[in-house]
Amino acid sequence: MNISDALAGMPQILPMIAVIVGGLVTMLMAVARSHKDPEHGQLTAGPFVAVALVSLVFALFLLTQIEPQAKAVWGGTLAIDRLSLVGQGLIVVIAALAISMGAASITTQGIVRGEYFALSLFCVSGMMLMVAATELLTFFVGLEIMSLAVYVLVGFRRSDRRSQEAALKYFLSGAFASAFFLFGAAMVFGATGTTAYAGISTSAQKLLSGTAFPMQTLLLVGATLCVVGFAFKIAAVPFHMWAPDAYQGAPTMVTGFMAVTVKAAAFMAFLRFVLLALGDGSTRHVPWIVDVLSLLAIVTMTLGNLSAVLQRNVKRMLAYSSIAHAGYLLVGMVGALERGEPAVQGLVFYLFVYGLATLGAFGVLIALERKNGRHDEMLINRFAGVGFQHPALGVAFAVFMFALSGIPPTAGFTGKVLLFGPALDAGHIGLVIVAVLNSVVSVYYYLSIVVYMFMKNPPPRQSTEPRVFSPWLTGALVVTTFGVLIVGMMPQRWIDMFAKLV
Amino acid sequence: MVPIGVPVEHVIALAVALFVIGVLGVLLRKSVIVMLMSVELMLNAANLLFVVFAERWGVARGQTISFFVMAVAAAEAAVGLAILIGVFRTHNTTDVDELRDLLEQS
Amino acid sequence: MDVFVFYAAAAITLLGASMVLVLANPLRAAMALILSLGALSVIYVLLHAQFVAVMQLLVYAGAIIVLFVFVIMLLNLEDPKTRRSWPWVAGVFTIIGGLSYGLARGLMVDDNQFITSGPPHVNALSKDYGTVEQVGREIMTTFVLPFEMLSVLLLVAVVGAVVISKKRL
Repeated sequence: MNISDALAGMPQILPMIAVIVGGLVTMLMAVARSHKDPEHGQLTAGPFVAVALVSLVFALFLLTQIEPQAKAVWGGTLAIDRLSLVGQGLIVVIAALAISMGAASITTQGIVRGEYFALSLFCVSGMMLMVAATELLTFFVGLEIMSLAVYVLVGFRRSDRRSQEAALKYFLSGAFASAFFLFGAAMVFGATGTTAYAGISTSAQKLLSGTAFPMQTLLLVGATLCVVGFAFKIAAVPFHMWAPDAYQGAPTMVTGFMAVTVKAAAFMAFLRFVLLALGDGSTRHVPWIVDVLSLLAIVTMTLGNLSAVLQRNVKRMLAYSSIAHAGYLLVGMVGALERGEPAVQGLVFYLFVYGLATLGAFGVLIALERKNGRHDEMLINRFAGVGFQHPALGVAFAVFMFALSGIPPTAGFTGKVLLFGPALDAGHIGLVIVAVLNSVVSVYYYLSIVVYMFMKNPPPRQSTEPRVFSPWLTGALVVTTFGVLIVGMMPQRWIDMFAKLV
Repeated sequence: MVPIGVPVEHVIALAVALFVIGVLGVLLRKSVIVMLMSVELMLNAANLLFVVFAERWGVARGQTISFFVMAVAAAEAAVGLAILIGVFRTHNTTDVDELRDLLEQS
Repeated sequence: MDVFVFYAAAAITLLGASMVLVLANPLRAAMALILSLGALSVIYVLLHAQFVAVMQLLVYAGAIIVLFVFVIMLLNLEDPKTRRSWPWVAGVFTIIGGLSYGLARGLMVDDNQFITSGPPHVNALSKDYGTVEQVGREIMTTFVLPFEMLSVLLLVAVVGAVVISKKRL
């Protein structure tokens, strides 16, 4: 292969380039503004959000122009199959919503730097690389771009103790996990002599079926370490310890961004690794991976939900809820390994629904945050009577909670049916029963906030609290609320969109 | 040229020992800066594996990857130390056990 | 001769790494880290990865450790109060020794498994193996996309480090 072959893949990475260019432009705008404007507090988010949205929408447009093909491009490092294109599109859409929501709190939360937008966009480009990578090193570079940007975003509130502490804890566990992944990747390379998923799959089949090459142990230990690295990123128990701290300490807008996009990107990359490197799309080379993932799913769901019930801090509660959702998604992954395409479709559909609902919930939290730039504790009592003071926000929040707990007619219900169905078909009845029981438990804590909002009287002094208003936030909340409802009521069109993924 | 006459098991043992030292450093040490150094050791252990496997397979890929890992390690160290400075500014300590503003409140 | 140098360098690598784990003073730990990583670069030379060895010295000794030392000086980090007792050290090293011996044996890898073709006892290496040219060619062809994306990674690191740590913005 020579360099012109590599460059033939140029059109396929144009969406990524569009996002990076958006990041560069916002970065330069941030520098220019800080020189012109001595009054730092007056940074207006409008132009930054506009540039970010333009680049993301343009990237989405470019993604729709690319024809999916089975062969990897860029020397076998980048896939442009449908899973890659739909995955990148999903991340771009969700990131656009998350960035619009963040605009509201850019000044109120003491985050007056435009670099927020630049780092978010770079982060998105890393995620796009992760989702599309079909080679361990390429994936690792994407993972690190995403992770480093998110560590910084978590610590973006520079004078806030919690934000800094969260950034440090997230960084330490994230770097630790990356090192595990890399050590595993080195072992996989040692066992197979390659790092491309296709090559790994071929060698793995040879290694694990016959006794021609007795290097199974090296391969299996390596693959296990890689899976540990992925499990850290999707916050699956027992590798979830960072998530509650990071979610609670991060500025709310960053929590929303990372809860959704990081999980979606890591999950889709994980799916690709398990399907295409440890299998070849339809068959699995490592039979017991299903058992490992089922066990991980059960532990993750149960512990996530039970811990969420105990929380008084809503951000922390949503963190445990996102851990529980990682468990549900792992159930979908078990289905995907057993049933192939329809299950992959269900998994991506659920990621989309989870993204809308979680992002919406964090959007409501952003709208309710106090305006003084101090860290807001977001304890559950604060939500008493909010439903009467701000009926629209209360109703929207209730919709998101219904969706997260999987109550019809929201999209959460459809999503869970599509997610658990294939696992049930494949005979994992016990696993699905645990998942459904967990969903029932989760109803308790999701609805308890709604109960606080609509059935308790507000403490008297809170009524005059100033509220952040931003057209961007309002727009994004409208989109997510109606998205959750419309997708839930007429799912077929949306399911078709995710059809034929492998 | 032929690979060096050291059995590959011995090199793997060295890499695993480095990795385990790194893991224990992250888990046992309280000082954040030493934890960061331990992460560097873990990355180096992975690099050593890449280089030795590349030599045994006779392909360049493992060596190429080790460059990328070095670049990533440098970027990670820069961000990690910046976050450490941020924590020091707000908490006046670099001891992980003294960072407990974010705790379970149940 | 090579083999002897390898084991000597391996011993120094492990010694340095262990000192990172045990020494209380962060500055001394940083020095021990240089020792360890320097000895590792000797091993890279022996494994026919000359270019990697040079970069290892440049990047680690020249950049990363300097950064560590700089931060240690900047924050004026002192010895923590805790001192390691001998039983603690002995216990930790038993764990390290046991794990690395057990894992290396348990992986059941030996040299014969890498042979892809024919009788020579090991895979012969091409003449330009480990040179700048060979590695550079691979970076610029197969890995050109991740290589270009590394620039985004470094940009993120630079912007992020400045945003988080600069005193006044």
